[in-house]
Amino acid sequence: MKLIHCADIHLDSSFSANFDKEKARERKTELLRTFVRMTEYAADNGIDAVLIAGDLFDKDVVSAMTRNGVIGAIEAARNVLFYYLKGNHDRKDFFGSLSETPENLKTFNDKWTSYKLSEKVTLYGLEFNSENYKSAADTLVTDPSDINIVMLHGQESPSASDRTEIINLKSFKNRNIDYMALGHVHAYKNAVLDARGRYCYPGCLEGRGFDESGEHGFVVLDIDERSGKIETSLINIDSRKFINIEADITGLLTTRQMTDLISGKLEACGATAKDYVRVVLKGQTDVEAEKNEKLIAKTFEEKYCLFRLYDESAFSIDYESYAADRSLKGEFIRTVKDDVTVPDDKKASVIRYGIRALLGEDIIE
Amino acid sequence: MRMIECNIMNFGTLSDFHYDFQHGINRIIRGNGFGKSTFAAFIRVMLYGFEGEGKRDTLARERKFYEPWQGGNYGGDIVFETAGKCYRLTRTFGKKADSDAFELRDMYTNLVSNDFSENIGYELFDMDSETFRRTVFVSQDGMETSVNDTISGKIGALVDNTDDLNAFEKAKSALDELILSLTPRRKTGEVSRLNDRITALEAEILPADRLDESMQSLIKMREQEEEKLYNLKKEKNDLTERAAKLGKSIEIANKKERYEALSADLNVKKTALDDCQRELPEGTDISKLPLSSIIRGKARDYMMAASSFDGSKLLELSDNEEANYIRLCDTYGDEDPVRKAYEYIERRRDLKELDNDLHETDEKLREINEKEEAAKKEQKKKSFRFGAVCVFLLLSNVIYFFIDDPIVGIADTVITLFICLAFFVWYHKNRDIIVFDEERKDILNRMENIKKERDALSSQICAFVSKYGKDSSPEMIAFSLKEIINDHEALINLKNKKERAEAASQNAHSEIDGIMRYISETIGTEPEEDPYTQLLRYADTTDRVREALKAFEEAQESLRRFKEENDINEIENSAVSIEGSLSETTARLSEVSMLADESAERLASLDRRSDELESSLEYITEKRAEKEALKEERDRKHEIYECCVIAKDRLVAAKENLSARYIRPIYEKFMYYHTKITGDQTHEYMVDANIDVSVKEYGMTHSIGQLSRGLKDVVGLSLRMAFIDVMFPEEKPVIILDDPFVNLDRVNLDAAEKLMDLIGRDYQVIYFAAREDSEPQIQI
Repeated sequence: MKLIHCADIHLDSSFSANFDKEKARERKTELLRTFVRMTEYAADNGIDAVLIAGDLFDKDVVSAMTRNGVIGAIEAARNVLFYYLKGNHDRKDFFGSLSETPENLKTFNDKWTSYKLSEKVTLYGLEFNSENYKSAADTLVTDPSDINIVMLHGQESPSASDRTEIINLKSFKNRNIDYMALGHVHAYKNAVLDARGRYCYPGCLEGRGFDESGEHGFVVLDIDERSGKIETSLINIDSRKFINIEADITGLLTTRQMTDLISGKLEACGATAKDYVRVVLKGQTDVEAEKNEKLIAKTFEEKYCLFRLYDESAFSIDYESYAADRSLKGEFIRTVKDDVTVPDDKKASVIRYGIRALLGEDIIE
Repeated sequence: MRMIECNIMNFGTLSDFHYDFQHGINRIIRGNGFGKSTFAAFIRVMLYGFEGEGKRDTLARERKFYEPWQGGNYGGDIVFETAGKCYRLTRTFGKKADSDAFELRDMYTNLVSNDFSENIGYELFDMDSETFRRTVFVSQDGMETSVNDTISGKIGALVDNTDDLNAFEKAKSALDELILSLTPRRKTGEVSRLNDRITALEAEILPADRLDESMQSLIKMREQEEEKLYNLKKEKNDLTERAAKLGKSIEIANKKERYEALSADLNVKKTALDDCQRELPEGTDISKLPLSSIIRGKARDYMMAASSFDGSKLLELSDNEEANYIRLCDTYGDEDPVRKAYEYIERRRDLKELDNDLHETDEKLREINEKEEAAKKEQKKKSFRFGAVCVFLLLSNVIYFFIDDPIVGIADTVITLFICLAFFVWYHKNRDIIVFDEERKDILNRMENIKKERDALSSQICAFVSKYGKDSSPEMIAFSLKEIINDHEALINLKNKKERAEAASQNAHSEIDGIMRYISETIGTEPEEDPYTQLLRYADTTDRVREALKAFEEAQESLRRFKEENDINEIENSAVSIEGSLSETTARLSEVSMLADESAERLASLDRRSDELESSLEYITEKRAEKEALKEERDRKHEIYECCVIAKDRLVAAKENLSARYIRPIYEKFMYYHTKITGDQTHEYMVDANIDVSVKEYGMTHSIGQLSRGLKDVVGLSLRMAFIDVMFPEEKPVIILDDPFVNLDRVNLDAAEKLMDLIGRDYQVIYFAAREDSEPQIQI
């Protein structure tokens, strides 16, 4: 038997944090399209069921495009059963409010609900609320002879917590669980639960921002019902990646050196033209270094779908080297250095601007 | 640097002019028009080249101004020493700069030297022409001076890098420009513009709270509606389930009833089949029953065979016919005289024709005899006439022979003989008479033949008629022949009738026997007296049996199908009893479905509204993001602005600090020279960081411009000397003064003259003045 485990798709995310209106709309459509591609993958690859472990939608209000897209995709994969467990982002009962719920869609509620996926495989699911989350593990009853899959949406935690979306993993140990299909964490994680089972977060299908960089997709479970062995593999299905790199430009003196450094780092992490790239400049450069942020940004904007440059680097200055400098520049640096009215964190910038003015260069790049 | 000698080939008013310079002061006191200023200008041009090369104004364009009045090339040379070496600098000037010539020779080696280029002035003094004019070269009415970047740089010898000092003004301007472009204090400043845009965005975002409230309210309404819909759906599901159960119960009851009905029907059909089967002979296999249509066909065949048998009796010959048949059979046997009879009837017509032929032949014979008689008569007539002719001729011949001419008589005789001979031949050869003989002979033969043929035929016919007992008399012969034909025809008819009657009787018998065998073998019973009725009855029975069997099989099939399609155990063991009416349940279900649909529609409407709100909120979110981005940009630009303001202030401060370090020596030198000239220490002069000199009187600071021309010249000379002292601490330059003291009063002029002597101790001074005893101009 083959299953897909996915979660945290967050359809209808606004994407306004990173994109302009046009790109945000495009990304929103891409996200829906990726979900549809996953359902097509399920239909084409002999997948028996798709487990959606929460946060299918991003907010209470679901747009008509997303509503129709999701229902259409589920109905189109008529030979695949979809098991949808609501997460903290999902509306109360999206499918319940529909006049016609797709026949191949099964849902859960705030009580343990089980579905027999086959003679040997049983799926359990529970939607957390303030009343059931603490006793969730205690109220779970499983058959030790079955292959038991438990679906929940929440943040893993080694201990109990007062927060609703916390899953106390310790309490689920030794409860005949073979696989915990979890959702809520947006990065892939597959770890040991106990001697028998594992727990897994598939991460989101598509990154939504630079805080969700890396590869994304869904987990395919290949279950050998005779031996009870479950093999998992992460299928990358994301259409683009958010790539987040830090470039330490300490000691670099020219823009060219900086672009070379960034190019090398992007090449090393396999960035392609369709990806979204954010580069944060770190470290300290000399006040007299030639650093043109516009040129750096322009260089990479032409290469990637989206390029953001954040300069968190600082200017450094070796006051000692200017101590005996009897030029106007030396006098200027000493004047700024000794000026207690100028905040220390501004001194390097003030000196850089003054020096660039004296050198007859553009004061700001 | 020291000037040693000067030779002017041609330059302005000066021509072929030589001058040897001395150490210290060189006073060149000449009257007006001598060319003092031209001399001074020559020295400057030799060092820096002409000024105003691009100008149209002849006066402003020195090349044109100093062009020799007599024309031709012009120029000269200067011998000078610097850094321990002596050089001869030679320049000649043409109409244009590209026709100028420059040469520098080392006076010790007399070789061309590359120690200095055409830019020798700058290289010797490390200053440009303009700085040269502001310091060591004083033109008429050009005593006033001020500092420029080169002077600043040179007097700040304490400065390591004078480039950035020189670039100060540009740097300050650039910072000012940037500060102005960024300033939050002006509307045009970028920070100010960003602030405006942020304010505008904040105004746009303002309704966001209301939108949020609306959205929250909408979400609440939606939740309520969802709950309502959930309850309705739940009730609908319950009702559907209940209706299904009720329906199922009713369905099972109906099925049970149907099952029982099918079972009962099968029994009825079975009994009916058994009853029908009993009507069949024992041991009949109903699966092999003949078709009733075949049986009925057999019945019909029997009826027809019986009818045929009866009909065959009607076809039999009557007694008379039988007697006639026997008589005719005896007369004719198997012979067929009809064809012969008809032949003889035909031949009897031949007999008549033969008689006619005989009669005609006889007529012809008579005609021939008559013609022969006539011909013979004609022949006799012709013979007589011919004989007469011949006699006549013969007589004539004799006459001729004897009378006239024997020869003619002979010839005539011959002719006559010939004619007689011809007549003889004609007479014996007459065909008509011969033909008549032949024809008569033929006719007689034919008549004989006809007679023979007629007699033979008549005999045959008589024999034929007599053979069948008919009258052969000539008058009855025709009747007899017809009678023979009729008799034979009657015999044939009777014979056919007799055969048909026998065949019909035989066929009917055979058919009836077959049907009887069919009854006994196929039906399996003895034929009854009335096989027709027996067969029809049997056919009816098979129809009934077949129908009963079909009905039974259909009932069996219906029951089998029902069992296949339904769970018989469930039906047989069903004892479901659901309370309530199905109609009431379905009515309520319909009502709840309608309410659920209405609720779903309301939800859809709420969704549409929330879509709209979401769109507005998205717009607000975008604006918020834009505002945040602008704020970041504004803060960044403001930070730059602040840093630039600080940078400019501190750069100015640094410049002032740096300047302050060389203001003091300048000030001290200035006051030294000023006091030397004026002896006046009452004026309080100030030199600021920009080396601008001002004077303080009565507690007020005044610009130098407010002083008298004489005092301004004193200040200018003092400042120039201060600059020169500070700028050239090592090798001293030549100081050229072109009648600089015209504005000084006598006292100051004397002092200035003395100052020249004093300066001449350290510098080589070339001092041009109008006349030694010339009166100074009186200052107003």
